[in-house]
Amino acid sequence: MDKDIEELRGLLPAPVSADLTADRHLLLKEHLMQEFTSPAAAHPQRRRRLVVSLVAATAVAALAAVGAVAGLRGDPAEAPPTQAQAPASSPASPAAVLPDTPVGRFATQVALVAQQSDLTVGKNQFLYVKSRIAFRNGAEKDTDLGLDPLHDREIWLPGDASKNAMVKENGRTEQFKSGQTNEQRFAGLPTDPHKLLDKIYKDTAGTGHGPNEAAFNQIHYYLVEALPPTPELLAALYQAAALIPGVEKVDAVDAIGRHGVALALHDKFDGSRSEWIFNPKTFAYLGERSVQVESKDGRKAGGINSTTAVLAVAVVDKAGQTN
Amino acid sequence: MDLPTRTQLRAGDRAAFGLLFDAFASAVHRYATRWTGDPSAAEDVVSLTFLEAWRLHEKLRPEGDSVLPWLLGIATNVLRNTGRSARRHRDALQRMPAPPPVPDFADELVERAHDAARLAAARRAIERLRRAEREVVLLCVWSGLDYAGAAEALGVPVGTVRSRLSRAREKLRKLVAADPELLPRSETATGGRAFAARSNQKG
Repeated sequence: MDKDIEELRGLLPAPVSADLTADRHLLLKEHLMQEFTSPAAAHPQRRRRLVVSLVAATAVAALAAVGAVAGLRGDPAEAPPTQAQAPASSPASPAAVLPDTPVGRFATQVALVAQQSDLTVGKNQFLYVKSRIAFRNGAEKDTDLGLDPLHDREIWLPGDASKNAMVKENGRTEQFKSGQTNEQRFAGLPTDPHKLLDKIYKDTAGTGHGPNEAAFNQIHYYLVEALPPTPELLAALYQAAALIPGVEKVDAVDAIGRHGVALALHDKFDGSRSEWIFNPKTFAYLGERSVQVESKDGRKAGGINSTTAVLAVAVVDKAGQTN
Repeated sequence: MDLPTRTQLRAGDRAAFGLLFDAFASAVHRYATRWTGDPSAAEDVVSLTFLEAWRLHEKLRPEGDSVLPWLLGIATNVLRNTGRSARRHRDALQRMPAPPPVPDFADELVERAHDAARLAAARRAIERLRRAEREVVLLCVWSGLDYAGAAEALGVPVGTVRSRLSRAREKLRKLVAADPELLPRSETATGGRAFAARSNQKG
């Protein structure tokens, strides 16, 4: 026992009693167990996550055609020609689903590219994504420390959910299990965008910062740091996002300064705007950003809450491999 | 007592969160009661802490021993910013049961009044500390975490915990020397004895 702790124990005898009684314990537990079933409450904290499967489907699909990672790294103005205008005539074409508005037209293009995705990660393979990221520090505390320094993050996601995933960031390597197969993750989600959004509203009812914010976040949850769903569901998820009232098309810049166009939602509850940024020509996913658009909770309007940029995407045979 | 594994918790296993609640709800409640001085308000902190733990389960580090430091770290954030946590879970909180009724047995009332007095006295003392010092005192002295556990809970280096505790000790020692009534000496044997013994020592 440390001397300081021992002395403090003498100085400050712990108050006794006032414990949680057995019946209150049971009552609280009973209620909490009901809350623990809510899927949106279980969604991972969004500030720390990256939109990996957005990358997987759009970036990889677009890049498969043009080759290499140039489209991800290059200036959008110099980006190679897109295949997005290509086959818009498949049976379940996203073309007719969204309203003829700026965000509707934009999300349709993103969905078209997503639908062409042929990214597959075999049981013995890993999806590798390298990003450059920075997140606001101290967001949950009294103090706002601003963005932490921009740094690289690498993640390897196994095709087989029973294997470990691996993350390298800030000199630390961690392994973890996703705990869920893709089938479990996407179970029961229809590929009709309207039905999909209805289902998502139902799943997230009463959670989050409001129905639209919760639905937008839930879609983000389906799209981040996980293997992609089927191309049809991926396209439907984008379309569903664009159908959420308040979701708009805005100009945005990713963590390494690439200009793009984003699907964005202004969260009225915390005053931030979440943006999923895409290359305006190839519709490849570039990164995400959260901008404070209202001064709220000690955060000034105009501040950046998080910023990321995808640097590379590959399917590899082992965790730790980069190509 | 069955303890949930980190793997189960990270996977969002519901039953594991039930075990987590059984194992640590009391510890979180005690911590919150000593912070707030109010056992009823502490119940809300318990609810918010477990709701946050559920929300943040994928952030739990995959390796490590007890998950209590993680949980008390979440409780600390809830206590630092109850407003934000309560807004985040406003719907869930509304579904939680109402605070407990005041008991109607005379004995229990007396006992509660006695507890309340002790709690108030201890709070008077720790309120003289800075918030950061108070946190390490509550975690290390009253919640039984070691330096490493408190460091994990607070997200600060171990050396910082050490120096904060050391400062808290110096400060409390001086406060008690100046105002012996500050702490409820007569109310616990160990407290009184330890105080008497320590008060003769110099730094």
